[in-house]
Amino acid sequence: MNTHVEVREFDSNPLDAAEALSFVDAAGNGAGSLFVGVVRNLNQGRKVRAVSYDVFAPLAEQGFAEICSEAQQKWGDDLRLYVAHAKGRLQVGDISIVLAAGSPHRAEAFAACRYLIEEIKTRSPIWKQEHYMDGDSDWVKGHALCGHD
Amino acid sequence: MIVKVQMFGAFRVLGDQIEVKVREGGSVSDLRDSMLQYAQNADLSDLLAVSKFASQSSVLGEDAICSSGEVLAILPPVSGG
Repeated sequence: MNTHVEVREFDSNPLDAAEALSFVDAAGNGAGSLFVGVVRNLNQGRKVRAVSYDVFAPLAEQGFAEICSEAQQKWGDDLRLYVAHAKGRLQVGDISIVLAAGSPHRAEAFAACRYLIEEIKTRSPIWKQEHYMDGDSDWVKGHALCGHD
Repeated sequence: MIVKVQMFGAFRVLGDQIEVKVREGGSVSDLRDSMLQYAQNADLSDLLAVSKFASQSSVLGEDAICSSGEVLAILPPVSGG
């Protein structure tokens, strides 16, 4: 398999960028690109102390695989791709998502990695609840999914 | 018939899963109508209107037919990454 997709319980096993880069490495690859999403301490003027990620895991993992397949159709079957998204409560600075793309040349690796994150953000059944320093919590307004109408 | 609906995101305020009564042979559109009262009670009517329903393997269209005892999921607008 040249793709790895996963929803991971953050409490038991935090995400690891080195693991992602190792997976996409191959003797024929001259390029590996990496995207790491991290919980930040401020959103729309509100101080954030933590974020909880709710995930519909079976559909999310299936969607990750479909997005990886689309990337390989666009930039080559030899692309090696890694997708892992955290589930659970994360503190500021914790990693929420790790993506990596390995390919013979850099253009394909950069393009595929960018494609993965943009598609995942708008298509994957994942929801973010921010917990603020003032004790309040709120679900982040997101992107409405497209159906099969 | 009864359709079980898993809650995600802001709908978690209703619990992890709810059971919704839908007419026999009803569609996702009927399920959405049946969920309106639950949503109104939690001030989620606007969110219900822009949410999708899904099986365990695909997002469903409004005309998809529900089955008794089926477990579906409600998917409000997403915010992963």
